[in-house]
Amino acid sequence: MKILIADEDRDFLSTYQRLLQVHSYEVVTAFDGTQVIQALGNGTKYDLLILSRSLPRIPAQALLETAQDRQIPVVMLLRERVRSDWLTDSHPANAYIGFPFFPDELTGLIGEVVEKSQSQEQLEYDGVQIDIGRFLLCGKLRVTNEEINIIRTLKDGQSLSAKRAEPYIHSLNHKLEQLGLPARIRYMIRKGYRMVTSDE
Amino acid sequence: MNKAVKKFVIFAEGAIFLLLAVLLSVINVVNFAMASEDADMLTSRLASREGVFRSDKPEGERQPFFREKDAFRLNRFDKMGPDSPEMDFSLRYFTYSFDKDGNAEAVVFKMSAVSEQEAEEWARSLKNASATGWTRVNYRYRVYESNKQTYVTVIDQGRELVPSYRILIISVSGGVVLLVLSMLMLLLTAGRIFKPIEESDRKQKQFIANVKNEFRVPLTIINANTELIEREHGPGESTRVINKQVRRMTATVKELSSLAVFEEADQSVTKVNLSDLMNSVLDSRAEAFEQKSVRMTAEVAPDVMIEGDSSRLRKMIEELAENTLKYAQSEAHFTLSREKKRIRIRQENDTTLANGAVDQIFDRFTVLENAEASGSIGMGLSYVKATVLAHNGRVSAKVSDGRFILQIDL
Repeated sequence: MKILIADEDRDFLSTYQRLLQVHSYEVVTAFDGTQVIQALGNGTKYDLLILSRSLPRIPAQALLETAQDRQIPVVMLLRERVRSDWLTDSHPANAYIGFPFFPDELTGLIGEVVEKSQSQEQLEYDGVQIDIGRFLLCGKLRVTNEEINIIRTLKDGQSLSAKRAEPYIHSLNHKLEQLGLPARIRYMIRKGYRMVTSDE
Repeated sequence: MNKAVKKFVIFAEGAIFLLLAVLLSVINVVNFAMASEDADMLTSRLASREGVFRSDKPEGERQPFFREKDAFRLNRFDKMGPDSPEMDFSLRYFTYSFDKDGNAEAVVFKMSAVSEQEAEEWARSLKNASATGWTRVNYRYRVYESNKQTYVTVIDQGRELVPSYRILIISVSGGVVLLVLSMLMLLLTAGRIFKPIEESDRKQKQFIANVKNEFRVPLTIINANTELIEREHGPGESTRVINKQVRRMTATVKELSSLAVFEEADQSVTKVNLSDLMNSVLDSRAEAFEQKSVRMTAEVAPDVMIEGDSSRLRKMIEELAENTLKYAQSEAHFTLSREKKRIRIRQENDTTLANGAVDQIFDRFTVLENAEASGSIGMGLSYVKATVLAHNGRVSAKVSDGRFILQIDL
């Protein structure tokens, strides 16, 4: 599996290149937006792009859209907290991870995102349909890895970690409203978050 | 213009307006009061002479105009105004007497603004009024008894009042000009006054952000390299200690990050279900309240929506809950409701604090006497206030009859 990792910190790049190679990934590095464009344009097919949101030269959002248009999923590295307005954007990243993180957190996320991107599974729950392989909600709006996990967790009847899921719950509700669907994720006292329809 | 500068200009201008209003009011009230006193001196003098000056008595009863004791002397300021010996000759006035049957007799009539008949009707209308006062704006009157008759004396003070009116107009006009000029000066200089304060605040926030950010990536790199070392050479005591310390520092940085959420100038605004947020936070704290033997109750209106930053709002409610958990004695109550166009969050608990407003708890590093032993550094509620203000809301706190009440309006 081939991963393109782009960050402005060269020590981080060299460390994670070695670490991911230990995990049997083929890793190409880039330390600015120009190098990312060159890497994406040279015909190499990448399975994943790990992209720093603060990468210099070219805005990360433009690079993200370029990669996603080429069916390359993107994990975005953050030096700040994830914002709800990014998640409701037309092109959110497939997943976000904020510094500082442990190696197993990133490798676990890489595994999840790549596995989903290669999946043919269609997730359906309470009128909400997700094409997991394309990270698409009802064929129209893009969703993130965490949002897909939330729907899966709710479908399985398990509890959600509210603090971690917070911004994603609100962005999902926003997307459900945008699509005109009656389902919403609501907090039920003593039961936690549940998917409910508007007439409940 | 930013909020702080705007607030400063409004308050400063308000203070200037208040001071000017008080000062000018006092000056003009005293001025007019002194004019009344001078007029009363004249009417009193007339009253002592049955309503007529000696100079106005019929010939034969009249005394000489010049009197040695009234002679002009240099620097005799006590012989100015109503005490001037010339006043008897220059004053325009009339006096009418009324017997017990109400029949009127003109004692003296020295007025050109009204006819004698009008003057008699005027005096009759004042006969039953208070002992002294102003009538028809510029005229001072006095009603008094003498020889079983009621006398009404009316004197014209128009000329004497002109300076007072001039002072009034000039002082009010001057006050308005001063207000406008002071407003312009404040607008021009407030920005400069606040610049160093804002710069210092910005640098402080930037420093906190930099410190926090400068640790994020290095910590990630350190723990990744530690893992690589362990893979190559196996785990050891050194790498175990490094991992432990890195986890500790990572937790600190994450805590700093969650608190720094309150310092961020720009917000991530979406539609947030505040009811769900509140229920979620309170539910997660329910066990902690039980362990502390504090009975926690909540009344949360359903579907209270707000446009805001979900992370900040969640953190705000968490800080409220944490604060309550620390200081409630035996019971605590939370309310989320809609009040017309505003959303109200109310938190109450029993307390040992004395009655009064306790808004200082929203200041950084401020703890009340019941909190000094708890080890609290007094940051939580300052973050609550910052979030409330960022959402254009109001927050206040008070203690009343053994209850601590905190109220947020968004």
